[in-house]
Amino acid sequence: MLEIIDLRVYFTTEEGVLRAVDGVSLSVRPGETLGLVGESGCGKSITAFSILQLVPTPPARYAGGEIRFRGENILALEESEMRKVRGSLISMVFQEPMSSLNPIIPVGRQVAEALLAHRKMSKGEAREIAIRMLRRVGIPSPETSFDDYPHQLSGGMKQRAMIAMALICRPLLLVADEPTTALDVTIQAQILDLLRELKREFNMSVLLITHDLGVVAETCDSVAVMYAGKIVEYAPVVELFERPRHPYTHGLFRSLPSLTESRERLPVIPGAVPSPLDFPSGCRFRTRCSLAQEICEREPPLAEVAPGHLSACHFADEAGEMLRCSV
Amino acid sequence: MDDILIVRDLVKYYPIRKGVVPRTVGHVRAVDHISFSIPRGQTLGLVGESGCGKTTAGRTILRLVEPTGGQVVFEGRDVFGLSEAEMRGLRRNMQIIFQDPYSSLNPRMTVGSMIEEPLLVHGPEGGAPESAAESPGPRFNRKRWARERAAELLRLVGLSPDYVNRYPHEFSGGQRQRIGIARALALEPRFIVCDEAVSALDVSIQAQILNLLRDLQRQLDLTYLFIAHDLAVVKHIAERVAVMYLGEIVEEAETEEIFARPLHPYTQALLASIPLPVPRGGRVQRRLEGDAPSPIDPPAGCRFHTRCPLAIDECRREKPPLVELYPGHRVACIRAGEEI
Repeated sequence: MLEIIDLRVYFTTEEGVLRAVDGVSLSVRPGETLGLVGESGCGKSITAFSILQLVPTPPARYAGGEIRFRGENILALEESEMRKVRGSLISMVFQEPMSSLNPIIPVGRQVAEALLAHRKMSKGEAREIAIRMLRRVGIPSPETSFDDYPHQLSGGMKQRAMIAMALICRPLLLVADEPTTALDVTIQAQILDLLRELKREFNMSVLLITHDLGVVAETCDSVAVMYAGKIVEYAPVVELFERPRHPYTHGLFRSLPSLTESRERLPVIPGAVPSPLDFPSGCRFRTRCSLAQEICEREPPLAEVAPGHLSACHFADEAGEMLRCSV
Repeated sequence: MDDILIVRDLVKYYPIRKGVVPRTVGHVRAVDHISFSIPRGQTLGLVGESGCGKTTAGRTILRLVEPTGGQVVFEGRDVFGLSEAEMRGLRRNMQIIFQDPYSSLNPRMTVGSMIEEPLLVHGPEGGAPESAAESPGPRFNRKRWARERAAELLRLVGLSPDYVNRYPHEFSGGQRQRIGIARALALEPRFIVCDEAVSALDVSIQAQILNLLRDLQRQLDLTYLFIAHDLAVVKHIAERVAVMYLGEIVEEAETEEIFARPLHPYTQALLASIPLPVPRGGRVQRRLEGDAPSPIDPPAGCRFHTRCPLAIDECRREKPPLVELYPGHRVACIRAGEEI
């Protein structure tokens, strides 16, 4: 469905070249939900935004790689062609619904707009379909809410409206960038349920960008873990959670406070993420890694360490043996 | 037990004013008669979703916003009865750490001067025992003392003392939060409100700050009111937990107890909503429907009844009192203990 091959997105700044995404490869199969996880600044959102060419150029530039959608490199498409892809074949939902909802246009009209842009139909027909979609995403009395402005909706309802807008043309791929991060946990649970149902119903693929490992565990089939502009581990979800094979993934799991277990102190990953202007040579995690040796000054390739399980670590076997706290 | 802080019937309403000649047309009932106490050296976690009043509660206790009613007793003194001058004295002992360290640090002040500021304002006079040891002699240099103390505080929170001359933008989120903590600790407070202190941080940094807060608590015998929406974080750091919904406390108990045996349907729903980092759980959980109603015109009876799967007629009519159902476990629900 979607295949990203060796994508590089660099930013030119006064202080130098910032390699935000530096050789990322991943693929989303039909009907699959792939989670792209990592901490702030790891490049996961830039990767996601690149799919629809939503990264402003300049300051960014696509320094290399391909993004293949149904076999075609969409990174090479002209803006006019890209516009036919956005919202029609590939859609996106964002963390902050107000960033994609226009505050001065009624919600229903915004949902119907994509239909008028991409499909040949009358305003009346578009309105009908939009109302049906609003009902499907759980907006109460959609006939009247159709004319509501975004500020009249609660946070959860705005998120539902944005999902309706993204899915109205039945895209093949939904890119969801932290779609529930700004929501309260009871509302987050509702939205995640909704996304899961719609994915099945519309037979979509989903690329879910998140920092929350709980959200990944509950919604994804496969996971790619990013650190400092690169993918460091890539595996089916159960495999990754049961036996992480990269010390960074491992460290992330261990530093999560647990709901089921009491610990006096949380094991931490020492230090902080290196600046993208100044990544360490070789393995970018080696400055914080307890397993690091001299060999780590050479960059480890992202290689298969178990069936379907990729890890970019010279000590992937040792990492797999590291003691894991239960969560 | 020695309770350092006692909160009784705390109320904070915000008036809603409308019209050309503004008149009060209603109230946002942000905090509506909450009571709790915290023993010295312990942490009370105050949890709930956005708009439940937890942040307002924390600020009202410190009198950063003036209360509408109720009483706060800190170390035996009635906080709301103090004059402004007396309040300034008390501020040494009660501090706050905010969620977003960037917006709470002045971008044009160096880290050193920000930490020194409270020291210079309040001075070592009448301070806590530690600083009294170096109390003003004839040749006491106030500025030098503050500077040395700032360096010491930076060390205490795990930063290099050389950072005194740097500005906030030069630091990462985790480091900034450490600076915020150093500043809060400058006057050797005994009580700190941590308002979503780790919510904006990445997991690996969050763990570092949680460990730091716990170490400091042990070392300095601090008492925390830890306000957060993340239940796993609260479980890790707090001895007791109080759950708020629409301005009221609906359940309060020791941490182990409330997580093992949540009695209020809202607490149960909160716990069931947390996505666990365990795949293939296949948990089909009971989800709460709808949004929380507005605190401007909260539902009559039990405020949770509009979303509660257990609600019966009586819940719509009568407000359930917060009663101690088991020793130390208070809950406000007539169907407490039934499972949603």
